[in-house]
Amino acid sequence: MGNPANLELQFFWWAFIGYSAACLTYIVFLVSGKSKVSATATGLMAVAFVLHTAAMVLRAVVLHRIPLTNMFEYINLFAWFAAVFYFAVLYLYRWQIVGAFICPVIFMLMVAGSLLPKDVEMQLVPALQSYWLKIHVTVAALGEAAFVVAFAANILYFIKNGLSPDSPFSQRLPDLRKLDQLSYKAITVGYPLFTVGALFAGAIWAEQAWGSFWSWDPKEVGSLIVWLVFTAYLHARLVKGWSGTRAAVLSSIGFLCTVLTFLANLFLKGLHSYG
Amino acid sequence: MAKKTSWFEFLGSVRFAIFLLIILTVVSLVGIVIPQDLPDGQYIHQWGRLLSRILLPLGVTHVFTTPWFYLLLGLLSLNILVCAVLKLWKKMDNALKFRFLPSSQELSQFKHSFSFKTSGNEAAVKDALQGYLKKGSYAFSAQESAGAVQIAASRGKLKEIGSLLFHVSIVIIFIGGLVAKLGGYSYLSELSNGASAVVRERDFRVKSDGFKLERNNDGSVKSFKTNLSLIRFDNSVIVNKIIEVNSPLAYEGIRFYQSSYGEEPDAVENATLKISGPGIDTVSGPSVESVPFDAPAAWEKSGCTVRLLRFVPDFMIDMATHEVSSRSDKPENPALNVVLLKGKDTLFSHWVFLKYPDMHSEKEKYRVQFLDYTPLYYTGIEVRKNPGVPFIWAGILFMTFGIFCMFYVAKRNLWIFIEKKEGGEAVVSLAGSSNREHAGFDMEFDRIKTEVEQFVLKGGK
Repeated sequence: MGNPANLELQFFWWAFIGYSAACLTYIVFLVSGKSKVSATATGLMAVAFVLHTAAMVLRAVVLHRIPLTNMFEYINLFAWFAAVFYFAVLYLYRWQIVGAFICPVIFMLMVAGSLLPKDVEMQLVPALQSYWLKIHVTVAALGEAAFVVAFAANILYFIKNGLSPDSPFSQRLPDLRKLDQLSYKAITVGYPLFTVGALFAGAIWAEQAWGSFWSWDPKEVGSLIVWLVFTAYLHARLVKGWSGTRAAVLSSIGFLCTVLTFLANLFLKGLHSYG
Repeated sequence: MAKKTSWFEFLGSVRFAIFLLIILTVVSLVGIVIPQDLPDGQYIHQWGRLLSRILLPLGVTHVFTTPWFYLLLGLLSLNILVCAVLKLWKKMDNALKFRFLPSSQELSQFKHSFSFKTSGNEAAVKDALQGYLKKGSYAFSAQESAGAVQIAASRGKLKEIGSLLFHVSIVIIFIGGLVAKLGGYSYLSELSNGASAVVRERDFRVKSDGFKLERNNDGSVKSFKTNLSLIRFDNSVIVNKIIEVNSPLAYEGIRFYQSSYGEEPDAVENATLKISGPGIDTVSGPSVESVPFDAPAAWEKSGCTVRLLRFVPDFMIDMATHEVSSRSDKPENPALNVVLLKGKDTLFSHWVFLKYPDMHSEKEKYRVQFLDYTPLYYTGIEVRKNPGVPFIWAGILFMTFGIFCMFYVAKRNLWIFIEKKEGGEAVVSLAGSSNREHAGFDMEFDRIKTEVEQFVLKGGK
């Protein structure tokens, strides 16, 4: 038996390799269009996902708590939820090609994770010793992972929209209207979760720990920007009837803000600088 | 002639809402890109005089507390309230009412509709259909006109209620913030062990009955807690709680947070000394012991008493007056004034230094070395009155409820006509609408069709 702490990192690297292999296979699929290739890619994703799950469970066992307290753990959770949504989309829509665009985002998250310090912190600083931490981080990551799906659908929309409808690649892509719908649906799943998880649970926790719901900390403001952009998106879509390219551009801006805010810890100081 | 939008309508329009959202996004970006609340000098140094002269008066260095930012939030509140009155209320009111159609001809206007004949009598069919609607948790109402029974049914009213709640809650949260700003306060109260301080606007004091710092093996802080009491002016205790980060004490609208801690500048918890000299040395050499601060302590079995009279963290002496003081509150050069007594004889009375253990005159018979000390901590308590808390909590709860209703509840409306035909037969026609996207409702409506037919045929069983 190996030491579970080392084993956990081994699983992380195996999952990393699994996601990379799935990503490469998807690229081959995009070029070749053979359904066998995409089935292989999906299989690789499933294997990587199982390994990734094992890595997270092992880390939880080592730590005796859910691992959600530094950027490495948070990025892992984000990538894991994105993979969950990947399988949900696959199950609901049977669109292998959407997977081909969610997978690279997961892969990039794993790359970012692999560059971060992975030490286990047995003891949390006092401010992090709260159950609101678990609610805040988990629900926020779930919401952000839903935005990944919307982003993948947007990218496909832009590609399909830019290609001539007769090109063989374009014919392999789902219908424009359906991509537009998928993007919107993913946001209607992500937006409430993000609002409640990132903003509300965070505010309640801040009030418990520091006595103030809101402190205009850079990461708080970043999350607010994400919320403002998606709020504008929903109003434009539901009331002004925006759809298609305009809507996809706005929601992609929202996703980019999400990624920047997510990574804000790495270059901004403030209440969220825990590593 | 196109109707001109009135100012009032513009205030409540989505166009205005999106405009405000964009402005708020830009302001927030400024608040992230420009580090906030630094001293003016730093900005001038970075930007140069000319740019600073333009930017500083705009308040870009503290955007979230500028008057124009409050104005923006005020306008957003106004926008939401006007929209709530003009549109959201009406939408919710409509959702709560049953809208009957003028005649069965209208049903064909719907994208989703069907009709079928049944041999059952009208009353039995009506019962069966109502049974179906009940089972599907629809709210419904029936009316009879021109030989036909019409049932209007709906499900998912919570969606519109949720939408109204969600929007109004934003204003409630803003009100909470405003109330906190106008009627609240917060300040840091630094308390030594056993010390107390008056709580603003209240007739009680806050007292520290001891501060405790726990460290991990690697020296990092594990937890810090204060045994905190609120006491009346006659010293009777009102309430007592051990507070720590994430676990404040709340009393009469005031909350006491464990915010910080620090080392006392003029006392220590205890100090470890090494003393040698006639009658003190043991077989193995000089003896080492930990001594509490400012209380006479017996030194092992020597019959001597040690007392730590004074502590300074950063030793400084005035050469003219020989007055000892501390250069700073930082432990740069910690020093202790130690007295060693035997009966009435003073054996040793000098300042000893942690960093210079060998600084003693050779003439001294006794040698005292200052090896280590445990600092005495004071606790930093954030005292906060926030009368906005109930508003903010209410806002968060309503908004959470509202947002899930808005996005996770799908609204459906069904209209059913039962028309009597000759020969005891009846024709059932049904139409439905939903705000769900078409593909989803197509499937659902197919299911409704099969279920309704089966229900009617089986007579509601």
